[in-house]
Amino acid sequence: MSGSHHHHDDHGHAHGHGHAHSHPHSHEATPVEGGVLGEAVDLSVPDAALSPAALTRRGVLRGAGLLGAGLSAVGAAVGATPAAATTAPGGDRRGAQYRWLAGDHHIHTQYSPDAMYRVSDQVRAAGRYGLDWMVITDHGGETHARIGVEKTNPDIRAAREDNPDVLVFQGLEWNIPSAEHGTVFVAPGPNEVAVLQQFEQDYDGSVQGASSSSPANEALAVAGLTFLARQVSDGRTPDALMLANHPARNGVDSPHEIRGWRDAPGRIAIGMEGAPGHQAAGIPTDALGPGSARGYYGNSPSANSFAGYPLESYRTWGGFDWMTSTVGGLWDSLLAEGLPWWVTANSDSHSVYGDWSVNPTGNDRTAVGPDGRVFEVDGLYSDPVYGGGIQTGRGDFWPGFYSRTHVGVARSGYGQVMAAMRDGRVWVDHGGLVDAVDVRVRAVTASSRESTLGGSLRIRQGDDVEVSITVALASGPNHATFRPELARMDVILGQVTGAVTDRDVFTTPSTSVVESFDTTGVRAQGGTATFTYTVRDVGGPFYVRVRGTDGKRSQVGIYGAAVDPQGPALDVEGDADPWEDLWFYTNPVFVVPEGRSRGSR
Amino acid sequence: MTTTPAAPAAPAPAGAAGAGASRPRVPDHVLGLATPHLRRPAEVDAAAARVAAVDGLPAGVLVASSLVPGPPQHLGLVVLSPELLTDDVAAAVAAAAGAAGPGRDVARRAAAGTADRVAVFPGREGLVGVVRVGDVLATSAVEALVGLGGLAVPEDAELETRGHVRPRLEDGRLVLDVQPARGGRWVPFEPPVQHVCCSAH
Repeated sequence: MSGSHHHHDDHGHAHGHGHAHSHPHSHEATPVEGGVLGEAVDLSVPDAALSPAALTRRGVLRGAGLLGAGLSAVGAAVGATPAAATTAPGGDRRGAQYRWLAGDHHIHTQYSPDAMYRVSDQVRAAGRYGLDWMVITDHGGETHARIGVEKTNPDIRAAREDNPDVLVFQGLEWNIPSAEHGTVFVAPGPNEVAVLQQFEQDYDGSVQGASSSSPANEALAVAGLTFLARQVSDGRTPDALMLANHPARNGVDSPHEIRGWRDAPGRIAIGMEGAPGHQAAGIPTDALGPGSARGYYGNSPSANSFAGYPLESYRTWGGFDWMTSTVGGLWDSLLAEGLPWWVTANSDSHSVYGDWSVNPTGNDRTAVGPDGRVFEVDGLYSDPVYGGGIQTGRGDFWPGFYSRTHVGVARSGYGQVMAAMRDGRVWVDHGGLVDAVDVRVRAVTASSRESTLGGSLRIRQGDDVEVSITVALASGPNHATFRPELARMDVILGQVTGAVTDRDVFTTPSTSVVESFDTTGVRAQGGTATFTYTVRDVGGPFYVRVRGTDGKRSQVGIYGAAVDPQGPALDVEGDADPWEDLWFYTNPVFVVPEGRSRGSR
Repeated sequence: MTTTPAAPAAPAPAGAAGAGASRPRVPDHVLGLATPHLRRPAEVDAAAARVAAVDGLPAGVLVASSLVPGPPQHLGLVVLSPELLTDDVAAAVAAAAGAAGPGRDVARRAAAGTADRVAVFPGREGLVGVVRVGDVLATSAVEALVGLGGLAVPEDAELETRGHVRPRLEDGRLVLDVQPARGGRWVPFEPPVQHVCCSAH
């Protein structure tokens, strides 16, 4: 059975909270026992003894890093570039320290038809608001592919020189064929423009007229990811990544498409925006806001939408996309496959709420700007000009001002950030809710090794596993100049149930909130505390992830109080103050028991 | 093209707020149209308005659309009428919709009492500005309002219509999905204008 307790680091005493729990997540029952995944994760079964399906499955797990490195490389490696299986057997040495670099992979400039700022404006803003890395992602399209992507590069190189503390990646916002938008970016190098430009010309949904939903267009999306994988394996670029942006906004990213991107060669597609940008869009008009829907998530289904999605999916919940905010929902159904899929949070900054400048042409692509530039001819708008007053009709924040994607690296660098993102060593927050959150998972009896976010801990079957969550509250004010207070953290646990037969499934029944920690006393204890949740007698693979909130808005989760008693609330259209509803989400840690005797089935 | 008789409507869903009159209102005759050129709700609305303006169309018709998986995936238009349409009127309707022929999928769904989105329905003209939920039910063909995320919608609550009310047809009844809005009011789930980002989609 599961039990839990927590204690505060600074004082080293345990509070008397050793409740007895009888969650359905104690792992006596392992639904995958004897199934394909069961064989695949049971490393006592040699590769040669596995069925072809199980062998493929093991290859998938191994490629994903879930089974760890150090295994013989037999089996079906996934794609051209098997993912870096960086997790050592049994996890990492306990106490590995990471530098958590805050960043944003979704930022627009005057090279986008619906945006306005110089590259230098956005990079300086990112530095001002504390970001360590960022990706410039102007919209894919005919003009951008032909001119923009090339012209952006000198601006980015100059910004790198002028802002040595910020890693500035070049990317683009890909119109994914048959689907939504996605960030695509590469590591800096001599071919960064060439790779991006060829990718965009050949695989952008807008350039190719392939945005509408169809099997052919879906295949083009996978071909695009395959192209990127080949650029990496051929050494043409050091690395390339793709993340799905605002995935549920229009219902056009179907579950099978997301799985298809994830399973494309090379693990280029690593995740999605857990929270979209445009977080100021829901500030009410009588608070001088734009009065729209938070995240601009106010649309309804269209002909390109996946018919299976409920209307709830088209809205944000506590500022997060429904795919991520729903416990037992789409994200969990992906994680329950035992495969990596990570979430991020970004600004999608086009034009900033409360800023003073405007696009001099009013975003007219064919108008001649003050310096003679015409977007459709030159690939960028004229520089911003003073707008004559404060601009309150906009829905975006500056990069770093509200949304942050924290990536854990051993040392800073472009390649290190991309590798850590692929590893899933990532957590996200809104409004500077906390300074840090550190999740470590270890077997109680072998506690010298542990895994953190994105990792997978290999343990012996039957071990007890300790999930240790250290949180550092916000030590100072955020960019709205107030200090947010974390009220609660939730531990979310789900069984890894293996590959799905229906690639469009977006629920998983075994994931739920298994513990909530009241964090309101942490401030008085010095501002940092460690909470522990223990899973006893682990019999099958599972994952655990953590969520925190200021506790100001919540609602019973979509799958009921037994799954999520205090989930994020539906954001009210025209009345969603983002500063009064703050959450953080971590990516999961997987736990994989091994050494199960074959005779025990 | 001919109209097909509609199947009897299924019972009303349980738990729908303000479930009003129990008599199902599926009109008796269904004309489905193949409209592969219709891909966005706004395009459907324009076509539906042209259809509704056809001379000789009986009072009380519904003009609705449903997703047709295709290929090509599109929004199929369907007319539900309390009276049999004459051949001339049916032809005029098809022409107004720009239909390429009959739309069997959408007709079959409508005949079973289901359509994704109803653009034209009795009483729609009164649903402008702010209307009390009870008055929506009393003055229009809308029979239930359903709150997003399982939220209950009281009859004395106010609906800010935004001039854009597009219920769905479910089990033969017009059901309007609504979401909470500022000041305790509600708004229809579907916005009058979709937020179109950038160049694609």
